[in-house]
Amino acid sequence: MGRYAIRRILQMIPVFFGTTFLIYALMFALPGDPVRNLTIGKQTNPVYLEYIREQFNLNQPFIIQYLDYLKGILTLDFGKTFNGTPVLEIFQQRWPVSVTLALTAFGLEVLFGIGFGIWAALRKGKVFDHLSLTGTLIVVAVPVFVLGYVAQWVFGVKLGWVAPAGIQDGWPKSYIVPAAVLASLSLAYALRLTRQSLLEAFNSDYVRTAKAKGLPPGTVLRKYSLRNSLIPVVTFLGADLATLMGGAVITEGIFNIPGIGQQLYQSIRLHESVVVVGIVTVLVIIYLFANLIVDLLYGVLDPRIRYE
Amino acid sequence: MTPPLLRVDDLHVQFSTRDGIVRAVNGMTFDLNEGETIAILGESGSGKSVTAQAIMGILDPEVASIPSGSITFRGEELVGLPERKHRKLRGTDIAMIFQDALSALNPVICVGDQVAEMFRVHAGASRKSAKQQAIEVMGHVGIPAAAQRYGDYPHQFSGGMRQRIMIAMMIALKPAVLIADEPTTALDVTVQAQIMELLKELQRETGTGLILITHDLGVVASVAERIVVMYSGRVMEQGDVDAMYARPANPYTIGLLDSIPRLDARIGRLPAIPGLPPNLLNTPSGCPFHVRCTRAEDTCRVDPVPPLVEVGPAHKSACWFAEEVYAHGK
Ligand SMILES: Nc1ncnc2c1ncn2[C@@H]1O[C@H](COP(=O)(O)OP(=O)(O)OP(=O)(O)O)[C@@H](O)[C@H]1O
Ligand code: SF4
Ligand SMILES: [Mg+2]
Repeated sequence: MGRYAIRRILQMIPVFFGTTFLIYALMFALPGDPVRNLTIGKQTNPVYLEYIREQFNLNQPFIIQYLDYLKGILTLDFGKTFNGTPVLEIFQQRWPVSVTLALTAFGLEVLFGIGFGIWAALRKGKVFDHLSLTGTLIVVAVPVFVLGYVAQWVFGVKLGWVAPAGIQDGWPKSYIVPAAVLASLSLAYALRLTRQSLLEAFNSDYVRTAKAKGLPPGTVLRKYSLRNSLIPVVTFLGADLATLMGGAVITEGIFNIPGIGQQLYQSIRLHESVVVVGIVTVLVIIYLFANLIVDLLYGVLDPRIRYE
Repeated sequence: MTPPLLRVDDLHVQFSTRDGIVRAVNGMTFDLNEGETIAILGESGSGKSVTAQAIMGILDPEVASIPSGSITFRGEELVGLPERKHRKLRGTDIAMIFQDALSALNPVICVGDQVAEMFRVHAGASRKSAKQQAIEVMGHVGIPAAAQRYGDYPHQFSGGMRQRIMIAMMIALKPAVLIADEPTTALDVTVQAQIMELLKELQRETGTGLILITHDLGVVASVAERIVVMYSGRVMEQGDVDAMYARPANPYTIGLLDSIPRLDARIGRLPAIPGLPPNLLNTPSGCPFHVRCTRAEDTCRVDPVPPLVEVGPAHKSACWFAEEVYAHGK
């Protein structure tokens, strides 16, 4: 397992170069001149514009720019934005916000996705089961931003339980509604997955054996039904944690949360390649690590999995 | 007179399904005495497994019900027994071995713990002593190096070894009744013989009453003392093995015996008697076998169902022509 993990980590190196290159190239290919965009509608000295281009290497051919950027990264210098803020500083401000949001969402997802999934399976065909199936269907069908605006209006404006936007009230008050919106889709999937695989486990041969052994119902549920049916759920949740980090663009936009998603959106508009590439690369790395952890976890949960 | 170890009397089991009510067991009746082996024989769908599950009390209460009949264990009624009490009997007094040990064992718990669980849950043994006892039974059922293999998982064993683990688990607490539902069907021919041998040996040792559910007529002759032939959830014939092989008293039994392949008597499933097994959603009137019976006459096609009548010592058949069939021999 150790060797397997090391091999997987080594495999991330080409992925790292590939992603940074690709994103950098995409940013380079975006139409428009980043410097001119920056100064639209302002009277600017052409010498100053030239100075900026010089400063940010923008006159060099693409590949030189890219290599220069890579060189910086290897010395933990992620570059600067056009207005001179180091990207690292932006990261230090923005990432904690997004991570907090994502982890809160993840917590809700685990708690309610699994919890309600189990409950629905135990009450199959009863009121709660039907409610949860209908509820999750709605969540899956309605676009996230609609859900987001509705939640914002209901909890932030109408009921006034939380501020409708911003993070001035800190955790958990400012985060709970956006996190719920961010989690909603995955929560719905997790609930359905839990319910489904638990129902399958209830009908499995090994659960029948457990009953034939005369084990108490609680033991049958925990050690037989749940233990087996949560394997796919855990895998899904693990992979989803990384998605939550990156998926926050819309939610952060609606609730005006100064996280990485919002930054990404702004930076793409401003053609700030260094910021965009930095953010996307970190997201990709998080994703790769989350997947590795899921794969390793899978092996711990299911002894039938072999790493070779 | 002391009651038999296990008595199943006029048992009915039905399932409510989307298509209607499936009458899977319709008046199953038999006795099992201490230390005795009986074989329940019948084509697929005749209600053998459902009968076993009713005895174990593991029918799904959401769909299955027992509208009438009784199952008594040492005189105690099991039908309608509160689940808590029934559970106490399971695994300790009445245990059951399933056909496919790969799917019947929990894939994510090591086999040793699955055996040890019996001692922990039912006998309140400590972790350590449960483990010790589990290793003992595992060794006893012929698992080599049981102590080393304690922590292995089901998928790491061969089919035969897995079935031995299943057996170890179910005989761990020396049950008085052991039901083996086609315990060897999923196994290779040579392994089948070994497993049957093991079951027989364990049974002799502990004096367990064994109910062997099987399609394999070859196995029946060598292991069981009595046979119950089932069709459409009913008993068609029952009696001592030798008597029934020599002089069957029911056309259905004759059909089954004739269908033993001559060259290889151990082929898994019985080749079918011409015609389909009955549709349990809509059972025919009269004798359930009349649609396929070569001997059927008009009386067979109308109710009532022929009752079980005695044709010889402890030998009964449910056929209007039982005496005649019996008299003609095979
Ligand atoms: N949970 C259930 N719901 C509906 N019908 C069921 C259920 N379990 C069993 N049955 C029906 O009961 C009938 C008898 O099934 P059973 O499993 O007892 O047959 P069997 O004699 O064991 O056959 P086999 O040799 O194939 O194992 C079948 O027709 C089956 O469709
Ligand atoms: S009662 Fe009639 S149909 Fe039924 S087995 Fe006997 S002869 Fe055949
Ligand atoms: Mg069966």
